[in-house]
Amino acid sequence: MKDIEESLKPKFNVVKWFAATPMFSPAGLIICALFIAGFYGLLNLFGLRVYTGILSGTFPVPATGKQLSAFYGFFYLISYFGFVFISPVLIITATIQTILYSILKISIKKI
Amino acid sequence: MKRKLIGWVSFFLATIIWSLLFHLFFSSSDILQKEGISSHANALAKRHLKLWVVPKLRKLELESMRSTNAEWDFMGRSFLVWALANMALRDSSQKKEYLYVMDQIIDETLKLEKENTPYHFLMDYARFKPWVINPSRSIFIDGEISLMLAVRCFIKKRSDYLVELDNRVEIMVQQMKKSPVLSSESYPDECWTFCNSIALASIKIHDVLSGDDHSVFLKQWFSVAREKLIDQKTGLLISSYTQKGVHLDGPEGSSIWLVSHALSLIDPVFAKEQYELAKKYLGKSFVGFGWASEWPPSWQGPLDVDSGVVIPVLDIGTGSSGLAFIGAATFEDFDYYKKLRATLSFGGFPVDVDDSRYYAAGNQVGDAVLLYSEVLGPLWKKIRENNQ
Repeated sequence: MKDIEESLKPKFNVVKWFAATPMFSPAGLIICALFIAGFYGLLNLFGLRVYTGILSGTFPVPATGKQLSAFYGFFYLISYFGFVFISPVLIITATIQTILYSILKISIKKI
Repeated sequence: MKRKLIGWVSFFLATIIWSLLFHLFFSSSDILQKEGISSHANALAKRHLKLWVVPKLRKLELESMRSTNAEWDFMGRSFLVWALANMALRDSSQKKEYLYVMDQIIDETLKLEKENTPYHFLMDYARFKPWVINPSRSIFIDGEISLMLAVRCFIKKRSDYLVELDNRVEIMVQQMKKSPVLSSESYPDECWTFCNSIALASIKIHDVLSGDDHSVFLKQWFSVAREKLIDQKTGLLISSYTQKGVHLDGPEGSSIWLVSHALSLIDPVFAKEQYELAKKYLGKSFVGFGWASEWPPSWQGPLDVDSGVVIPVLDIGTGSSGLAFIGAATFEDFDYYKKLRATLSFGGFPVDVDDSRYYAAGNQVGDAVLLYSEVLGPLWKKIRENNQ
C-alpha cells in the first residue's frame, strides 16, 4: 500500500524541468551559462587550446593539417569567447534579476 | 511585460558591470621587476630551456614555425640569446647554465648558416631578385648573429666568438657604407630599419668589447636617418626602403617598437622620441587592455608575414602588439606594459605545463620576445656604463 502511494507521488523530472524553464528566467540563464562553460571545458579537455596558434599563423601540430587546425582553433575561440563574455554576463543578469524580483516581490516560481 | 523589462534591464546592467570588471581577471602583478627574475619570466624561460635540451620538442616547434616563416626560427634563437644574457646579469647563480644554452644556440645557428647558406633563415623571395650590394649578404642574418655574439661575449668573452664578431661587424659597416642611407639589405634591394638598428646595436657593443671606435659612423647613421628615413606625417622611422633610400613601407608596428629599443643603446633621446610617437600613433588601450596597431592611420600598407594576424574593428596587430612589450619595457612604461599583459592573458591562451609556460596563440618567437621584454634592461645599462 505504501509502495503504491509512493509511486503515485509526482517525481521531480530534470528533463521536464529543464524544458519548462524559461530561458530568460534566473534559472534558465544559469543553465545557459553552465552549458557554455561545460562546452568550453570539454574542448579544453580534448586539448583544442593549442590550435589557437592559428592567430599567429602557426599550426602547432603539423600532422593535423592546416584546414583541420584552423577549424579546431576557430571552434575553440568561439567557445572561449562564449565562456569569458557570455557566461559571466548571464550569471550577473540572473543575480540582478533575482534581486529585482525580491525587491519588487515578484515570485520567481511564476516566471 | 514587467518581467520582460526587468529581464532586459538586468541584462543591460550585467553587460556594463562585466565590461568594467572583466580586465581585473586578466591583470598581472609580477611585471617588469628591476632586479631578479619574475616568476612569469622564469616559467617562460623554462619552456625555452627545455626546447634546447630536448631535441624532439625543439624539432616539433621549429617545424611548425618554419612551415609558415623560416625567419621565425632564426629570430626565436636571437631573442632567446639576448634574453639569456640579461638573465645572466639578473641571476649570476644561473650564469653557467645560461651561457651553455647561449653557446648551443649560437653554435647551431652558425653551423646551419654555413651548411645551408644564409637562405636557410630567409624567406623564399630572397632568391627571386639580385642583391644590389656586392658581396651579397643579408644584414638580417649578420646583424642578429652579431648581436647574439656581442651579448654573449659581454657576459663572458670567448675568443672564437670575438673573431667571428670582428669579421661580421667589419663586413656590416663596409656594406652599410656602400648605401647613400648607410643601410644594408636584408633582402635583395630591401633594407629594413629593424635589421639595421639591430646591426647598429651590435656595432656599439663590439666597440665596447674591442675598443674599436665606430662612433662617427653611428652618428652619421642617425643624421641620415633623421633626414631621409622619417615618415613626414608621423615623424616615425619608416620600416623598409631600397638600398638607395627610396621609401617602400611606411612606419610599421612590427618594426618600430624593436627599433626604438635597439637605438636606445646608442641615442636614447632619439629612441625615446620614436617610442613616444609610436605610442601616439600605434598604441591603443581600452578598459584595462592594451594593444598596438600595425600601421598608423595615415599609412595603410599591405600586411606581411611579420604583421601577423590583424584583428579588424579594434585594429589589433598581433606582431606589433607583441613587439610593443619590448618598447614599453625599454622605456619603463609600466602602465602600457600592464595593459599589454592583460590583453595577452586574455587572448594569448597561456598553457602551463609543470612549472613552465607558453602562449598557445603565439609561437616560440612570440614567447621569446615576451621573455626578452620581461628581463631586458641590465644589459643595455651595463654596456652604457662600460662605454663611459
